[in-house]
Amino acid sequence: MKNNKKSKYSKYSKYSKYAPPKERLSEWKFPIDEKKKAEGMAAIHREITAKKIRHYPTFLENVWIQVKFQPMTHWIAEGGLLLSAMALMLWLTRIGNREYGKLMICSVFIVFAGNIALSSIGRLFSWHMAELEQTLYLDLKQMVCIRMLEAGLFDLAVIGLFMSAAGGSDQIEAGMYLIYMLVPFLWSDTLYLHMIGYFRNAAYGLKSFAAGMVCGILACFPLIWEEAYAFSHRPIWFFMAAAGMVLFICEIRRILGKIEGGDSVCLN
Amino acid sequence: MPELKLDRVTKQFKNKIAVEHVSLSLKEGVYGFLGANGAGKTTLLRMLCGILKPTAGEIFCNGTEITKLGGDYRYMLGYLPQDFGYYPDFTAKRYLTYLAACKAVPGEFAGEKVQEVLRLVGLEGEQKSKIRTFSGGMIRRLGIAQVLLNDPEIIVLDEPTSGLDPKERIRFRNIISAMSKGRIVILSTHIVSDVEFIADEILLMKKGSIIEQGSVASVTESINGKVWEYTAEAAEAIRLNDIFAVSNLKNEGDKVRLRIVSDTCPCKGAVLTAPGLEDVYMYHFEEVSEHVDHMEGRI
Amino acid sequence: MEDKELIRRIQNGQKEYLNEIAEKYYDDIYYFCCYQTGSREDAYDLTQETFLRFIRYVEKYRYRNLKGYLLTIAMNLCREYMRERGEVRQRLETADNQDLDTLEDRKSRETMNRAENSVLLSEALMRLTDIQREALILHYLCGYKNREIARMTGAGYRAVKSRVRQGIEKLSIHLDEQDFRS
Repeated sequence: MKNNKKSKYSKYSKYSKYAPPKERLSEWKFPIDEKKKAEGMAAIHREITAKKIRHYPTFLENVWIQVKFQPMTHWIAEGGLLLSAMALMLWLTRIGNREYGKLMICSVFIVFAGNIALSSIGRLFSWHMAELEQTLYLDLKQMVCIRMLEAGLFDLAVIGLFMSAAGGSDQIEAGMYLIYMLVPFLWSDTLYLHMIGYFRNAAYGLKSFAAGMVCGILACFPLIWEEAYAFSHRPIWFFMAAAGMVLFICEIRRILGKIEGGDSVCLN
Repeated sequence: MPELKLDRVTKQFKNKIAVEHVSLSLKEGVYGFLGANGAGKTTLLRMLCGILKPTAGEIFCNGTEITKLGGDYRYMLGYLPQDFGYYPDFTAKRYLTYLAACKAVPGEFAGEKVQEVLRLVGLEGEQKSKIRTFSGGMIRRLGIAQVLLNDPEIIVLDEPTSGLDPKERIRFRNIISAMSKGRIVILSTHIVSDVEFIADEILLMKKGSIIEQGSVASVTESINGKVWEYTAEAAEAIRLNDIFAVSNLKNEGDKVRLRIVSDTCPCKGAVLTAPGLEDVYMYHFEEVSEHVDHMEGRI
Repeated sequence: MEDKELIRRIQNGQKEYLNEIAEKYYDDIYYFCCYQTGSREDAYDLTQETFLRFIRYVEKYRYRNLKGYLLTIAMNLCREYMRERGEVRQRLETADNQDLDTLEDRKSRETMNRAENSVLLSEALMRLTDIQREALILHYLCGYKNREIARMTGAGYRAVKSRVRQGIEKLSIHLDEQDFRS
C-alpha cells in the first residue's frame, strides 16, 4: 500500500540516531573573509556613487503633471463653459419645441467648447515651448496625447449634456442629433488644429480667437439654409460626419508626425 | 562618463543642405562651436538633442543610437534652445517645478533641486515673480537653470548669450565652467569671447561642415603668420579696412592701429603678431564676430 | 529603518540608503551563493554582482519582500554560473580557509569545527541536484516557506515541496556518511 511509496531513504530521515537535520544545519555560518567582503562592498559603493536615480513616471502621473500645470484660466474657461452649457440646457428644455433652433444653438456651443478645450494643445506649441518640450523626458507626443484626451473628455461631457437635454424628441432621433452636432464639431476641431500649425509667430490669443470665430460662423450655416436639417439631406450629414472623422484623425496624425519629424516644430 | 559620436551626420532641408557629413567624437569637456549665422550650428545641435532626425548618418551615445535610447537619452540631456520658450504667466518657481516634473525628477527631490538651480543662477530672490516681468538676462539665466534640473550628463546650449550684456556674459561663462566637470557641454555661438577661455575644444563650422577643430591654442596656431598689425593715418585706415579683413581697429591719438588678417603682408610696415581666436574667426568667416571685450575698445 | 521605507527613500532620489541595504544583506546573499555554487571564492563575485544588478534596476523595483528579491537575483546568477561551469563541483575549495590554521583557544576550536562542518555541509549539498539544493537552502538556511520558494523560483508548490523533502532526505544520508559533528 502506502509503504511501497516511501522513498528508499526514509529510514535515514528524522529518526536517525544522529541529531535531526534542522539542528545540523544550524552551524552553517562560517566567518566571511573580511578583506574580500570589503572589496566587494567598495565596488558596490562605487556603483552607488555613479548611479543616478531616475524616476519613470507612470501614465497617471503624466496625466497629473499635465493637469496640475494648466493655468488657472484654462480651468475657469472650461468650468465656465460647462456651467453655461448646463444653463443653456435648462433654458432649452423650457422653450419647448423649436427643435432646429435648439440644435443649431447646441452645435455652435459645442464648436466653441471644442476650441477652448483644444487651446491647451495650442499652448504647447506657443511661445517656443515646443522645441524645449521635445527634449524632455516626458516627450511632446505624450503631452499632446494627454491633453487631447482631456479635451476629448470635456467635449464628450458637453455633448452628453446636450444629448440628454434635447435628445429623444419626436422629430429627431438621438442618433441623428448626435450627427448634427458632431459634424460642425469635428470640422471645427480639425480646422482649429490645422491652424495651430501655421501662424506660429502671431500672438497666440489672436490666432485662437480668429480660429474660433471662423468655426463658429461656419457652424451657423443652417441659419441661412433652412432646409439643412430636412430628412432628405441626411445622407449628406452622414457623409460629412464620416469625412470629418477621417480628416480629424488625419490632422491628429499630422501633428504627431510633425513632432516625430521635428522639422516644423522649430521655426527654422 | 558619457560619450557622443556623430557618424557622417547630414541634414537636408528641401533644397538646402544645412549639415554635411559631420563626424565627431565628444567626451568630457566644453566644446565650442563657432560659426556665423546659417552655418548649420543650430541644426546640428537640434539633431544632437533628438529634435530633428538626420537625413543621413547616425548619432551614438555610449555606443547606442540615440533614437533607440529614446527617453533614456533625453534623461541625460539638458537643452537650452536659442529661442528659449516659457509660459509668461508662470512664476519662475512654478515654471521650474513644471519642467522638473516633465524631466521626471523624483518628487520630493524636485523641490530641493529647483532651489539649488535658482541659487546657482542667482534668481533665488525672484522665484515668485512672473516670468514676463523678467529682463532678457534673467530669462536667459532661467534657461540655464532649467537645463540643470535633471543633472544632465550632456548639456547643449544654443547661442546662450545672445542679448546679454558683458557682465551677464562673464557670469554665464563662470556658470558653464563650473558645471562642465564630468559632463559634455556643447556650446554654439558666434561670439568668440564666450568660448575662448572656457572651451577645451573649438570647432569652426562653415556651411554645414566642420572646417577646423582643436584646442584654442592649436586652432590659433593654424593661422600663425597671417595676422599683422599696422598703424596708419585715418584715411588709409579706412581704405585698408575696405580691402582687407580687419579684425580690430583702435584709435591711438590721431592714428589708427589695425589688426589685419591676411595670408600675405598687406602693406609695407605691417608687423606679424601672435594670432588670437578672434583672428581665426575673421580669417575663416571674413566677418567680424560680435566681440565684447572690455579690455580693448572698438570703433 | 524598515525595508519598505528604505526603498521608498531610494526611489525618491536618496540613493545613499542603497549602502544600508548592501550592509544589511551582504552576508545572507553570500552564504546563499556559497552553498549554492559550492565555491567560496566565486561567491564573493556573485554577491557583488547581485547587488550591482539590484542597484541598476532599483527604480523599477516594486517593494514586496526585499530579501526574497535579492535572493532571487542571486539565485539566477548562481544558475547562470552553474550553467557556465557545466559540472557539479564536488569539493569545496579549502585554499582560503585561514580559520583552519589557528587551533589555540576554544574559540578557534569552535570556529574550526564550524568551518569543518560547513565544509562537510557544503560537500553534502553539492551532491544534490541544483534545484533541490536551491530549494533546500532557501527553506532551511534562509527560512522561507515552500509557497514563497515556489514564487521565487517560478516552480509549482508541489514541486518545491517534494524537492525539499527529497533534498533533506538525501542530505541526511550524505551527512550521516560523513559523521557530522554538532
